[in-house]
Amino acid sequence: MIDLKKVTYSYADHTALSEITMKIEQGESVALIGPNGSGKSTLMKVISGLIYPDRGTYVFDGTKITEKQMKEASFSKSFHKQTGFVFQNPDTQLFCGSVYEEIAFGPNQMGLSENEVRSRVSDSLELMGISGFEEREPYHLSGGEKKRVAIAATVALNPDVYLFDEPMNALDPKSKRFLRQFMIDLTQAGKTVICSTHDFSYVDGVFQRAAVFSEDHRLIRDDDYESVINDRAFLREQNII
Amino acid sequence: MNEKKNIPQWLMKPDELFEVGKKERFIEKNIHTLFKLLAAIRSRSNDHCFLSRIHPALKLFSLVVLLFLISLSRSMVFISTVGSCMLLLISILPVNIMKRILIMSLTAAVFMAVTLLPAFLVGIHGHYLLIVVKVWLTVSFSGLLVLTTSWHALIAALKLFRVPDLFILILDITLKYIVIFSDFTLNMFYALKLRSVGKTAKKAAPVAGIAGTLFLKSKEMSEDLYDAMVCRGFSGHYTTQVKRQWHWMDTACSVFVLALALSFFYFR
Ligand SMILES: Nc1ncnc2c1ncn2[C@@H]1O[C@H](COP(=O)(O)OP(=O)(O)O)[C@@H](O)[C@H]1O
Ligand SMILES: [Mg+2]
Repeated sequence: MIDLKKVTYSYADHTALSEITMKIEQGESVALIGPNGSGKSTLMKVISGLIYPDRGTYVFDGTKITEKQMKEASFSKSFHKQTGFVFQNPDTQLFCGSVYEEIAFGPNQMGLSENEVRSRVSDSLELMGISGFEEREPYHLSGGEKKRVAIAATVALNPDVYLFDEPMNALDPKSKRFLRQFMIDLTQAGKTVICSTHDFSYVDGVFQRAAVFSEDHRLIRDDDYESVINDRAFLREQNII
Repeated sequence: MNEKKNIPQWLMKPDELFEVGKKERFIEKNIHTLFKLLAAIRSRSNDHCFLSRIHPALKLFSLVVLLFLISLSRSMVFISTVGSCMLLLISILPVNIMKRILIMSLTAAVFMAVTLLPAFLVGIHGHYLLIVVKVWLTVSFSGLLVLTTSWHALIAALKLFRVPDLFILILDITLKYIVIFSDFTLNMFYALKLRSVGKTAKKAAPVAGIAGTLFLKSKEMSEDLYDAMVCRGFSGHYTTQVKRQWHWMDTACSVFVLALALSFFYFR
C-alpha cells in the first residue's frame, strides 16, 4: 500500500531523509524509532503527501505521489481522506473556533451531508471520551484534551492509514493508556498505524514492526518490534535508550 | 549522554544573592499585562446567563436595530422607555456581568456629561440629558452583547452580514493565535523572570530575543497549520454551519426589540 524507494529529502541544504526504502501493507502497525532529528516527522510528511521526495519514489496504492498528481483536486482529496495525520503539537492542528467545527471540518470538506457530519462528530467525540465538548473553544482546552480533539478530527475522516507523530508526548498516564488502547483497536479494525516514538513505556503490544532511523537520517533496521526492543545493546548504540 | 561528567565546584555550593533591579519591575509589568489579557479572553467563555441563550446572530441583529433606534430618536419618552427596560434588564443579570456593564456604561456617560458641560453652561441645554442617556444606553447594550457572547459565536454571527466563510475562519484563527502566542510569550517572560537574578544595564535586551523566538515560532506554526488543513482535505473552500434550535429566549428577544421599535414610531 505504501511503497517508498530510495526516498531522499532535504530542507534547503540540510538532509533530513537519506535513501529510505520501505514497504508498508494495509493493516500493519509500524513504530518509527530514532533519536531527535533523525527524520521521523519528515518521513511522515512524505507519506501524508505534504512534501515530495527530492529523489526516489513514493507510491501509494499503485499511484505515484508527485506534486503534479496532488495538484489534481479530486485525487488529493481522496488521498488525504485515506491518510490521517495526528501532529505532534495539537496547537498547530486545531484551527476552528469550536470543537464541533474542528471535527466537522474534514467531513464537511469531503462533502458529506449535514446529518452524516453531525453523527460522525458525535461518534468521534464519544470514541475519544470527550462527549459534551462540542461548544468549547479548542485553544482553551488542556494538552490531553487538545490531543483527543485532534485525534477525533482525524478519526472523523475514517482514514485507512493513521500517522501519529510522537503521540505520547506531554500526555498524562491515563491519556497514554487510553491512546495505547485506541491504537490497538485501530489495528484490530484493520487500519494501518504508523507511529513515531522514543517513549516505549506505554506502547507495548501495539506494534508488529519497528523501523529504526539513525542520526545520519538512514533507515538502519526494519524488523519485528519485539526483537528490536529487546536488543538493548543495539538501541543504546543508536542513542535511543 | 551516558558518560559521567565531573560536576564543577561552583555548582556544589550556594551562591550569594543579588540585589533586585529595575528590570524586575519591567518584566513584572509585562507578565501582569499578558496575564490580564489572557484572563479576559478566557473568562468570556465561562460567563453564562439567560442572555447567552439567545442566538448570537439574532443578538447582533437586535443590537444593530436598537442602536439605530436610540441614535435616531429625539423623543425623551422613547429614550426613557428604553432606559427603564435597560435598568430592568441589568437588575436581573448575574452580579459580575452587572458590575462590569455598569462600570463601562457609567464611565462613558460621565465622560460625555463632562465633555458637554461647557455647552450646557453657555446655555445650550436642549438635548443635554438626552445625549448623555443615549451614550449610556448605547454602551450598555453593546456591553450586554459582548459580555454574554463568546468571541467565537460573535465571529460566526458575522455570517448574517454576508461576511464570507473563509474570512470568518481567518478571524477564528487570528483569535486562536492571540491566545496561543500570549500564552507562549507569558511563559517566556516567566522564564526570563526566573533567570533574572542580578542587575543588568540593558533592561529591554531580552525582549528582542523573545520577539525573535515568537516570530520563528509563528512562521513554523502557520506552516504546520496549513499542512494540517490540507491533511483534512482543505481545498480553499470553507463553510460554517451555524444551525441551532430556536430557544424561547430568542422569541423573547425578538418581541422585546419589536416592542421597542413600535414604541419608537408611537412616541415620535
Ligand atoms: N522545517 C524545517 N526546516 C529546516 N530543517 C528542518 C525542518 N524540519 C526538520 N528539519 C531538520 O530535518 C531533520 C529531521 O527532522 P525531523 O523529521 O523533525 O526529525 P524527528 O522527527 O525524527 O525528530 C532535523 O535535522 C531537523 O533539524
Ligand atoms: Mg519529530
